[in-house]
Amino acid sequence: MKKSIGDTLIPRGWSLEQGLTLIRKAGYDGVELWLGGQPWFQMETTDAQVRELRRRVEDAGLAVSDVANTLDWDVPISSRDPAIRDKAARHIIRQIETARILGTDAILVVAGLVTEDTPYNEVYQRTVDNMRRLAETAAQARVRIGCENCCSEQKFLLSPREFHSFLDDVNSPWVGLHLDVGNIHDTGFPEQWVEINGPRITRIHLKDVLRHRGRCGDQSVYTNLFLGDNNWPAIRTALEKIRYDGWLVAEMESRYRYAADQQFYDTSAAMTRFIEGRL
Amino acid sequence: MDVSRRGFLATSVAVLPMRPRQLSVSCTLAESNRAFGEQPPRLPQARVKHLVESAAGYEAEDLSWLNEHGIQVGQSVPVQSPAWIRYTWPTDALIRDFGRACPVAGGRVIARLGDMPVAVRRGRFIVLGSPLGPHLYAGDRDAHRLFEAFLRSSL
Repeated sequence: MKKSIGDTLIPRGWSLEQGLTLIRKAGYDGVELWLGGQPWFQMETTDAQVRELRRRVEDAGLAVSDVANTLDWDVPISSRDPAIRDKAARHIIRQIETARILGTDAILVVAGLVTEDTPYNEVYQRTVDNMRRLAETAAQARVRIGCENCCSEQKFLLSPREFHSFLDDVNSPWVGLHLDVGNIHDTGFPEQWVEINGPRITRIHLKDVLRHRGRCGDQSVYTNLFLGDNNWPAIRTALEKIRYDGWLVAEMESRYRYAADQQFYDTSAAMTRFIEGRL
Repeated sequence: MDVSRRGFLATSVAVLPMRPRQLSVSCTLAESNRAFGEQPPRLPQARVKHLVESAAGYEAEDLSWLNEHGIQVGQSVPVQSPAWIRYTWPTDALIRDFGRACPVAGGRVIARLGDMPVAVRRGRFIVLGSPLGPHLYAGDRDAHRLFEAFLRSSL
């Protein structure tokens, strides 16, 4: 397994070069680039600029683990508004295009967003339909779309079997699960998500979770690796069971108040222990 | 086709060993009965194997008859879940524990839970101290792969 971390975690005010140097120095193998998340990677970024972005990543001794986006929450593929759905399809297609340019074979999307106004049954069918369409583009580019489990935030696909059924309905090897082991919170157990969805997992986000806080409070439920309630030995063994050997991507919500770069080193060390099974 | 009585008898004798069920499964849990029943033996030429699955204390059962075959199944012990049974024969597989497991001794160890042997093979017997059937029933891929390997294995 290889270690990666999102470019959205690069401390505010740091340049891309400073961030990439830190990521490499802290022992990561790659970086997850977020379309829409940083000035260096926006919808307006041209192909030539994306190629230049790849060169800068590689010059730092890193690879791009996958292409995520920050846009799905405001522009969901499951919207009732066809104009918004078209816009969402455009940014997902752009992710696929840039993934090719950046030399990676996976993207992350938040597929489907249930709200009070957009009920589950509508979201489900629309998301399946749109993922089927996008799967054709993904297949041509040989890039896998990983739908992230944002469980409670999405109010959608809350259990591992539900996600499995969803992927059955999409019915494409080019659409899978980008598993976030921190997002499951009190709705289940990440090791069971791993076992049930096995080879359909495209990438894995790592963070820990504080279940006792509940989701309705004003404090984040997410925390750094090994500080929360995830059963890391169980997750590690489940990954061994499914023979997962792909990218692990650190995705922290809260940053260190002081010495922001220290979080990169601490997280990298924790990931190494996780990979080596020293838990 | 003209088959003499002698030829007919010879053929019947040759075929007979193939006709009994290739795998006899002894298990106590209802789920296991259903799950194993859905698994048709695949290799008609295989000799009969006996797969014995302990209910690990969930159901009353007497496995002392295995002592005659040199195999001992101990009392079940609770397992700190989730943990995985690590099989090393006939294929490598990780199967989730079932909350309790029985230590098994008296044969070649084929699976362990931590350091504790929980499955052995000896002669025509494969004895499991942790239920496999419920995992077959639940559709666990590794459980199916392992069971198929049991069917293919030569004892």
